[in-house]
Amino acid sequence: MVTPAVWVPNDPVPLVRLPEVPETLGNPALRRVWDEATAGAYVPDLLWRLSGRPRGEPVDGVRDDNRSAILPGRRVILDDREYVATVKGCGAATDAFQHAPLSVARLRSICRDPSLLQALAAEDGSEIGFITGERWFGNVPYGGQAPDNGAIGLLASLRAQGTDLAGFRICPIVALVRLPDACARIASSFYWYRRYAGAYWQELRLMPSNVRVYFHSPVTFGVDTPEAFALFGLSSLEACERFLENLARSALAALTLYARTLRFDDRTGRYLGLAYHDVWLDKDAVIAADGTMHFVDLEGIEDVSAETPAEVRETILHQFHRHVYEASYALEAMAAETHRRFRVEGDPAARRRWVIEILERAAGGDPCLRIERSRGRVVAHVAPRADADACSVEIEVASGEVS
Amino acid sequence: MQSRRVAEILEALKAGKPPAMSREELTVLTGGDLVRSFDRPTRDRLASEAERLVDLTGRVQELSRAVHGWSDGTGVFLGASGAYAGPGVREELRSAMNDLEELTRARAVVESLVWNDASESFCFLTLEGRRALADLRNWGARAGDLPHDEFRERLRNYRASLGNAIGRADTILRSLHGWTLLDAMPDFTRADLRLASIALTARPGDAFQAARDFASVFRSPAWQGTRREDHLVGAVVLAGLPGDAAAAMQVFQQTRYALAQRGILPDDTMVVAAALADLPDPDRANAMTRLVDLRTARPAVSPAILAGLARPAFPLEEALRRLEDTSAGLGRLGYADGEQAWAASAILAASPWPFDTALERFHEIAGRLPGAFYSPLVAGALLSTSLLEPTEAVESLEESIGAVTRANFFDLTVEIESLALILSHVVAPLDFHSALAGVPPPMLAPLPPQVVPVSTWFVPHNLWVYRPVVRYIASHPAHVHTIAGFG
Repeated sequence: MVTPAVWVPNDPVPLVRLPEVPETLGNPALRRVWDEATAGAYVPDLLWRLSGRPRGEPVDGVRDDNRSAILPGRRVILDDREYVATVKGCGAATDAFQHAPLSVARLRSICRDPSLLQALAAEDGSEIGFITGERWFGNVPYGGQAPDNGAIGLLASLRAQGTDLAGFRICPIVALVRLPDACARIASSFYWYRRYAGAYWQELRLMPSNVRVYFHSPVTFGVDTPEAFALFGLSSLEACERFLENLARSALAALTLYARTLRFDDRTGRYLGLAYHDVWLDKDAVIAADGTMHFVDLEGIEDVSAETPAEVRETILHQFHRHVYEASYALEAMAAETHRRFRVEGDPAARRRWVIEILERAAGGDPCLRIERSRGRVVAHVAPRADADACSVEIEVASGEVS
Repeated sequence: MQSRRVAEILEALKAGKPPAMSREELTVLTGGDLVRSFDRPTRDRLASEAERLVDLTGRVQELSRAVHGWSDGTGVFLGASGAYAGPGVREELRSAMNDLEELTRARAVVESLVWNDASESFCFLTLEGRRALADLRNWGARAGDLPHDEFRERLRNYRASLGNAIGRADTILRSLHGWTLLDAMPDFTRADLRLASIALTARPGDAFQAARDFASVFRSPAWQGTRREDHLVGAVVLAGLPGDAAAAMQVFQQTRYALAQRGILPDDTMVVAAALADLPDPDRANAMTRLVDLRTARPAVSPAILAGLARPAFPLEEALRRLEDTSAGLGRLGYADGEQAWAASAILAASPWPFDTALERFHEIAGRLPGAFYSPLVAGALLSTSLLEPTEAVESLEESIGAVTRANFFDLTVEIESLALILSHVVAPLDFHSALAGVPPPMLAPLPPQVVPVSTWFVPHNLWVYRPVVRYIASHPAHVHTIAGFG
């Protein structure tokens, strides 16, 4: 049975698909997604008009995060789960410096090209979103994407089989495209303070939903749990338990990403494994309709090296403890809402016991993880992908009597 | 089998203690799927099956590593996963995972088995048994002597009533949408209409008629110039009354005029008139006079707060004394002063309970309320006015919350508790009206919950429970009207 993709309707994003782009970096494993109907760059309608209306076709997007749009018409099934294509870097919806829509009126105020001002004067002033040339968070065009950030995400995607990176679920990048020069030239004419000097790229990725764990979507799992239940169509206790088990399994994989991607690099004589950089599960992961957590912002996961097994163990522990609260929050929110709807296991202690049981079950088939009760505690034994004898660690999952 | 005895057995099993149940009792409980039992050979077989779990887990891990292209021993990263698993590995893994699930379940059963001497068997509590135990803990004090089957039947009926009430509210809501009320009045939201619909389920009779009456009152030109919040209160209360809605509207406007004549400010006349709308003419005139006297005694407290006490339940002096005592009592219990504390005091003072009992009940209920209410004081006071024990009152709210969420009768999470609080007023939990031992009886003859006039609970609910929700919704427009989008 295929788990359908789910997304929360949001503001429409009028885009134009430009099939002719100067450069494309694709993910060979997802070549079939990059077909004639999908391939190309997706630019805001206004940017397309200002760029001289190159050959393209209109596409209706749905706003996801600030600079992303879902393409509901472009969906694909991988591993019995449906994914919807999303463009990241297709224009920011809000002003970079004010909590207000990035409207035509605001664009006029940051336009550095007098000839474009004339063209903008004819616009009706609706709130549309735009790719700008403001240098933002390091070296990224505000509303667009920088090539190096996109490439980091693509490299992570290339290491996965579809959406599966050694048990860690990701929203894989299908392709990176560089925007046509005409579009980049226009975008670079709009900035507040500092002009971005690099190339303008964007990425097409696949997402099972846009329901994030706690932040950055109109409905989030932690805040609007009952609404998320309605979205996912969870209507029985059994369905909730299956959902919770998938959530637990994928969360445990996310917490042990470093261990499950660990390898020894003979060239440098160091261990390498994937770690999170300035990304978090609460805002950078989405929950699929079957409960499986997928990590979205792949530009934030990169290899970190360790010289000795002791450093490896420390990194595994650091990663787990840095993110375990966010994962626990999602599990607790799910369990509490299940109780609220189906009236089982009344007290919070019983609910926590249930969550622990689910965690134990969820870890059952994990290649690098085993969860056990030991002297009144619940502990996870993490055996990394490489050099497990020297690099294994034991992490406390729950303290005190839990049975 | 008596409910009390069932509770004893289930509690023992839950605690892992010998339940000491007879064979007959075991037959009844297994028949009701509350308990399952195994003879010794079956238990031993299960235990031996469960012992395979360790080996099977190891095998599943091996297979999983093969599927994910785990290190081949040289420490070299193998790249994309899957390509290195030999033929049939994925199929074996899938089959082993299924076995793993079965064995995990078997182990959980084995670990929870408790020996029962009389039946010479091992027993354990089923999921249904755990649910039944939770119900007995919540409601068992009233149901001790009832046959357990009858107790369960009553609970089933209660839960079905909650579901039916939401179904009725949904019918009303669909009718209101059918009349495109929101197109004509864009100031109002779907959340407003949902609130109205669930409140109108309290009105006996045909759901479509309730919807028609509400639409008719809601669209009346008489509301012109009034605040939208007051417009909603007035329309719900008037449509919620039995009888001719147009006549009720006329009386309502006369009441507002009379209140203005008595010095009540125009902004307050709407909600006060709504709070008194169900009273017959002489009682309403009397209430208006009492309101003036209450205001004279407590000029700092708003008429909207005093309106409930103006209803002729207690003599005026006693009503005032109860208000003062309750307010002071809330202060002693550590509740902050302010408008909401006064509103809670007035609700408690007007309740049928002796003042100290009312305070105790409130204190217990307020401490157990979920954190979602913007004004837990008023929500707690409204729940305290019921004839249920505090734990039961909270339980009835939680059942209502469950019913609203299960039915997805909301757009936004913030609406749920507010709707459930109304539902808990509308649907009486179980069919128990007997007082518990040790609890003083109410001072006023209680009305059956189904006929408690909508005006008595809807007005304070609207003022202090719902309006903060509206303010939240108004400041978060992107979240409103969210509908699922499935691929």
